[in-house]
Amino acid sequence: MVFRTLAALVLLAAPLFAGQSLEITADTGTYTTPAGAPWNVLGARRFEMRAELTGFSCPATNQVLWAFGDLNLRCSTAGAGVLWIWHESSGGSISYSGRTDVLIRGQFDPDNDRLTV
Amino acid sequence: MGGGQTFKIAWVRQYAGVLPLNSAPPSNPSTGNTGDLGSWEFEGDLTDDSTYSMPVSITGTAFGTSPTISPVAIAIQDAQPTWQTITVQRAGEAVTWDGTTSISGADVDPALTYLWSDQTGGGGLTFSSSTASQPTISCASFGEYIVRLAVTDADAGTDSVDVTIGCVETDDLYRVTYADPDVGFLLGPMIMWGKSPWPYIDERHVVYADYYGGLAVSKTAPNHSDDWNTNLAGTVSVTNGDATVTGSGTSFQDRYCSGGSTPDNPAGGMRIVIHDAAGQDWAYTISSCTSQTSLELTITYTAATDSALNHSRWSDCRGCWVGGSNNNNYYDNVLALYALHYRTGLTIYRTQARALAVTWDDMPSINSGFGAETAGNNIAARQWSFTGLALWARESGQPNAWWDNWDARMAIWEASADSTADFTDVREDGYAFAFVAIMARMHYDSAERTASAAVLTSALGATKRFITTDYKINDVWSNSAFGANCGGTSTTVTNGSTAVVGVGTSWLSISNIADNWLGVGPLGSTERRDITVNDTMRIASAPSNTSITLENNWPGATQTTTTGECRINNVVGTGTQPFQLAMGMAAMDWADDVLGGNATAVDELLDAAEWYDTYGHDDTLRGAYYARAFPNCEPDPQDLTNGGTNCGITAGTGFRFLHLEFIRAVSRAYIAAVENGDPRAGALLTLGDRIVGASLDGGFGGPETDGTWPTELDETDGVPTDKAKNFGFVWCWGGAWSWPAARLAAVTETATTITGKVTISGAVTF
Repeated sequence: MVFRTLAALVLLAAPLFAGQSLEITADTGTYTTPAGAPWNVLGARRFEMRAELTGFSCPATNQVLWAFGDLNLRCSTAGAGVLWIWHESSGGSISYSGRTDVLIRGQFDPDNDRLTV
Repeated sequence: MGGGQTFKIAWVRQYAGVLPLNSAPPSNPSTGNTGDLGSWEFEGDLTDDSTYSMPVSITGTAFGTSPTISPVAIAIQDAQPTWQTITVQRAGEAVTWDGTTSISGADVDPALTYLWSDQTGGGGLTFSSSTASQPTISCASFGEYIVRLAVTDADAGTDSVDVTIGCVETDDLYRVTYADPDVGFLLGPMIMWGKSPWPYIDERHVVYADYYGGLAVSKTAPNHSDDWNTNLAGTVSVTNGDATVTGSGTSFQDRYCSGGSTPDNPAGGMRIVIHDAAGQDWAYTISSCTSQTSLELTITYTAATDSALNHSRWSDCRGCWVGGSNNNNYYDNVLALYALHYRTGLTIYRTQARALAVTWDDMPSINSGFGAETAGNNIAARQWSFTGLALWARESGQPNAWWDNWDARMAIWEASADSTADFTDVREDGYAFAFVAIMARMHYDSAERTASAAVLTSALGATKRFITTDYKINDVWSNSAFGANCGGTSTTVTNGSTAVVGVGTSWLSISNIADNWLGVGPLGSTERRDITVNDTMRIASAPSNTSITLENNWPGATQTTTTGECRINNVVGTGTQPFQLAMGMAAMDWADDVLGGNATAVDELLDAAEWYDTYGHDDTLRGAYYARAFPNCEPDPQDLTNGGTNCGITAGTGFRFLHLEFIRAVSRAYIAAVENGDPRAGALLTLGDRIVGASLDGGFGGPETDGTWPTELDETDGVPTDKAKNFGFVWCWGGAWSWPAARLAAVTETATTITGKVTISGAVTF
């Protein structure tokens, strides 16, 4: 199976404001994605996320920040500012270099054996 | 998360299915855009808005204000291919632009408002609407404009983008029209950038210009530096006719001889450049450094006696500027850059062309027309790249004195063009003849123009015919003195013997000499022109530095030649390298233009094209022959036992590459055929499409392409770093941009004045 990491963690410029966001902080404790999710058994799929990361560095190596079955957003190495869009069989890394507002798309296409970011 | 860190998630959605690569970033929340597998908006809760209703479970839930991401303005010209990195459109044409791929940053409503404006000043842009998402925009006239698109999203976030567009004046078929007819004279028919039926021509033109044009501006060392302009400490005194250079405050030994007396010898050689009071830069080879304040030149100083002159060392990469076949302006990259400027209207390419022209004009071997130390005779006509300089001089408004500086050089070329002898080298004589034609058209002094035109008339009036449909030796444009000297003081061949004896020769130093051929006799002799067409001249071996064994007995007369009358090379004698016809054909085309019509010039132009069609290439193999008519190339250049390895078309795409220098030539010929009602027009239309299709597919396709092309232009990394000459080869003398325009000649003519006189074969698409 061949995975390729292409294009775009899209880093966009700075914020005005509207709406509410879930805040995950050091004091927030743990979170859990729903069990029995349909994406665990589906093929081609993607997730899209809009987030703001402040002072971000990975709390623990390989820590999953958000899980979508075997297609995850996770940290690379503790203390590093690198996020991975991760497929359980492999993964592609994204350099996160200090921008605070991001749009992320991770998608896995089993028909083409391709993970894109 | 660690202390002090926050990870605020405005929303997360999951979807069945994937998007194409390079799709736009995730769109904003809006009705109908919820994830079908999961959709968490986090508007104060953890619910899943998808049909699965699977809320996130999290302890210590906290919510805060969502980040708002600014919108992104994206403005693209309608239907612009993804490979296009610049934006060009025809003057006066209303072209649809598209702002709808802009991205809203709003959290709820994806709507955007648009505002288009002209940031150029001067009112040269016209918008069908300043607020539409997809307005039409037209530009007024040739030049560069700036379109601005500003977008505002539902959260009042704003962004704008400026797009520089080039505006080109063309006819209805996108053939460039020139405000200055002299520019049109030099560049000829040209298709607007982006409109070539072979997109590879346009895509690569920009890639090469961006790379080499950028280097022309940056003068990046070592290959592109003009280190001859970096004056060293001290001044020098020189005396006409004396080889000694005397310094004051100089460090000759340290600067030129590594502290000793022997001159440095970097790759490409090293010269001392002496800058005279008139602003000329004279480059000399150093014989020795006598002291820190005295050095000897290898020849005597030829410019005026003077003192207190600046001096500099030219050594970063002298070979990048002089001689060889790969210097920075060998095939006239100046003109290739100008060509892109006139094809796009973009200023950057004019800036690059000017930068290279200034450096080239100043380079000591050009020296504003004066040439180098040996009265300008030390480089061949092909190495002057005068065409681009002439355009630069006209376009940038060089003073009359600049043209005067070239008068002496022009006299040499005029003498070559007006020789009573046959042209002996289609390339060198072609260049010289072409340069005379340029001067006859463009010199500011009418007397000079008249004199140059008279030379053209005289030369074309001579009873010499250069081409017939017979490719026998005396009937072709030739590259006669083709090959390296045998060296030494003499070479003796003996009738009926395979033994060749040299005196003072070093034949063992010639690599692969057994693959070469021997030719002897002075230019024009029957020995070199009419040697029996077989393999008798092929070298079997070189047992020593002074002996060669031929494969067969020497068929000609027993004779001893002197230096310069003996050649050893892969082809010898007189013949034609087909792609080099381009220079002679340019000469004929320009002469016809300058003289207001000249039947001989037109005949030569068309005969040369017909020769290329008949003998210069093979339409089945789709390549050009490396050589024809040389004795060792005939009768069958593909006969590997008789020279096919040197003359023929071998496997691979390299021989398609040779077509590239002929594209402008076939363009000239086809137009001449159409304009003169010559019946060969149909064949030339086919020829042009076939050779362009064979050589410029590039994976983009186009008429007569077959998915194969010379990958030498590609470069695996997309940057043409290894051969500066390829830029000019393809986009100046080759004139890749010319055929897409020239092939439309009959389309116009058929509609106007000569309906019924032109035979067109093959489909014309544009």
